[in-house]
Amino acid sequence: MTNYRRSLTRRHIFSYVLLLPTFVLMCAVFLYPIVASVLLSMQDIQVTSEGVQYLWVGTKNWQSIFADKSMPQVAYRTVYFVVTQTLAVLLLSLFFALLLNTKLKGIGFLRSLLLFPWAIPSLVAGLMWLWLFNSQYGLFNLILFKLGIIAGYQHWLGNSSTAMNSVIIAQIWKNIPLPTLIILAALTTVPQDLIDEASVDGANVWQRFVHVTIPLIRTSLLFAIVTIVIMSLKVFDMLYIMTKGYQQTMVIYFLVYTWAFEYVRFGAASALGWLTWMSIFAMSLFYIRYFK
Amino acid sequence: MNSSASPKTTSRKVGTPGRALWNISGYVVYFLAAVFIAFPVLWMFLGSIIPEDSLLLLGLGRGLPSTITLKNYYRALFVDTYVVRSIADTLFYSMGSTVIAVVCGSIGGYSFARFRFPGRRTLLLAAIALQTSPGLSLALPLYLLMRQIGWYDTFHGLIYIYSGWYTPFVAWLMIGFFEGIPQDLIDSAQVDGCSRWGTIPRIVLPLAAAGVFASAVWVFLSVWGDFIFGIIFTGGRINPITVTVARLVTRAKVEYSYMAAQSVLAMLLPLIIVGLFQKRLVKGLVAGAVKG
Repeated sequence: MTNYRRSLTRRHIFSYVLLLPTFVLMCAVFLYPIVASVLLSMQDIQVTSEGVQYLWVGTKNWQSIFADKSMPQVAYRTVYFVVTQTLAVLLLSLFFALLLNTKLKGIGFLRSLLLFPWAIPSLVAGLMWLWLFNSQYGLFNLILFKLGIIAGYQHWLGNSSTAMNSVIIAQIWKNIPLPTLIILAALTTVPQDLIDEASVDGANVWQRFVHVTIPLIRTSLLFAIVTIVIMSLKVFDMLYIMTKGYQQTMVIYFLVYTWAFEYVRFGAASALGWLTWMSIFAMSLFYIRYFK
Repeated sequence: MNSSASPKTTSRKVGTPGRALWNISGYVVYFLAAVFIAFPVLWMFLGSIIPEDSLLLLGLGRGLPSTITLKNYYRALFVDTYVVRSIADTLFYSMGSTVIAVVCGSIGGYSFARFRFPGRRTLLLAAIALQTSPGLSLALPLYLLMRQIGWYDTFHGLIYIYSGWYTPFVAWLMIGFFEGIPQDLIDSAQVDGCSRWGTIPRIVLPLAAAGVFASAVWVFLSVWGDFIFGIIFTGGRINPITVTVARLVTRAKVEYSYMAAQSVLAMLLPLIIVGLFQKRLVKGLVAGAVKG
């Protein structure tokens, strides 16, 4: 018994030692800033060439968030961005997953192609779309003009009625691969005989999809949805390169950056950043349920 | 019901017009999907080899370009030395962060997979939930910290942030791979005189090579393509490639074909990696992301 116990503690120590680097890095890069941003949110912070100066101001920054007149609009836009993004990416990635799950010849090529938007740095992807949407020589204008859909070249990103949707399109393109892979992996686990059975019972393609496939991949679909919501809440690079938040494209996450590095309001930005972190963290608790 | 359905299903199976139509529409959809994914990338590549003035004419719909040129690449690689320097910078800290994250994360993941110890559950759940953290929110306190300790705009500062950021992810991803290794194999190596530590490089890591590879590629591509930390934690001495490319847009005179060439250089390495290792990468990622 004592022997057993000794080896048990030895194993414990060994396992802690193995975890030490991960634990230290987690504390340094995640835990520290999460705690620190609460403290920072209650201070006025000046970054000068000599260093950083702090002044305790209590809840002033938090009040300023809720008193900010632009806040309802920013919140509304964030919701709009996330909802349209999630719906569009979900439908498209479901479509891509179903397509990739067929036995068409050459489907492997499409599967490789699909990883491209994921692998390309999102900033570069944003540049691509910035250029496609260009008001003078953008291809988007050229094609729509030649097809007779628009009467003249449009200022897609410079116009507040179209800028947001342009960014959304670019972001959809970038975000499709990962949810597609998640759904595709689930689709491959759907047993073919269940589908065959349903078709013997007279179910058509649509009925088989809705009543057999969807219930079987439900968990993965939910996981894909949460993934997309989190991805779209964290839109940054695309906005930075395409609009910088101008033309009615400011969302909460980007506002954190603007407040911190353009208005130099670190305290308020920390408060807002912490709120963003909390809301995303709450959603990621779903991940825990999924992976447990 | 059965009798009405069975002719339909049998007619699907043989090469009837119905089947052919199904196939043709399948390829039309395939083609559209491929164009949607590939077109922006292709357009950027074309833009980089077409001279600036014919590019503008093309965008206006006033004629196709008559020549192609490698001038932009020549300029990016041999004239404006900052581009190559920026690529070298990015390569250096991306590889450094990848090595640290994969080493620390792997042994951490091994501990999670192999041992049961007090606190394991909490730590594991934290590692999963924190992965979704918004980088920007955590970057603010880290930015102030790095300013104060003099790590701002340094290689070790960037490597610290990136390796810390991806270590929990690697640990979590690797668990599934380690759990696949039979315990007997490790025990018998220990009986043969291999130390507890010795089993990790000799037995465990080689058997989990697929996971090590997938997580290394994932971390490398993520760090290479990151922009948020790049723009926040550097200030001109170190130039992440995404920051270099983004800087071109803010110039007074935007040269599109040169910008395209730089963008192509920025995404070339990720695309080559994905092209070469597509199968192994997807297998690794799917194993990690959908193990639930």
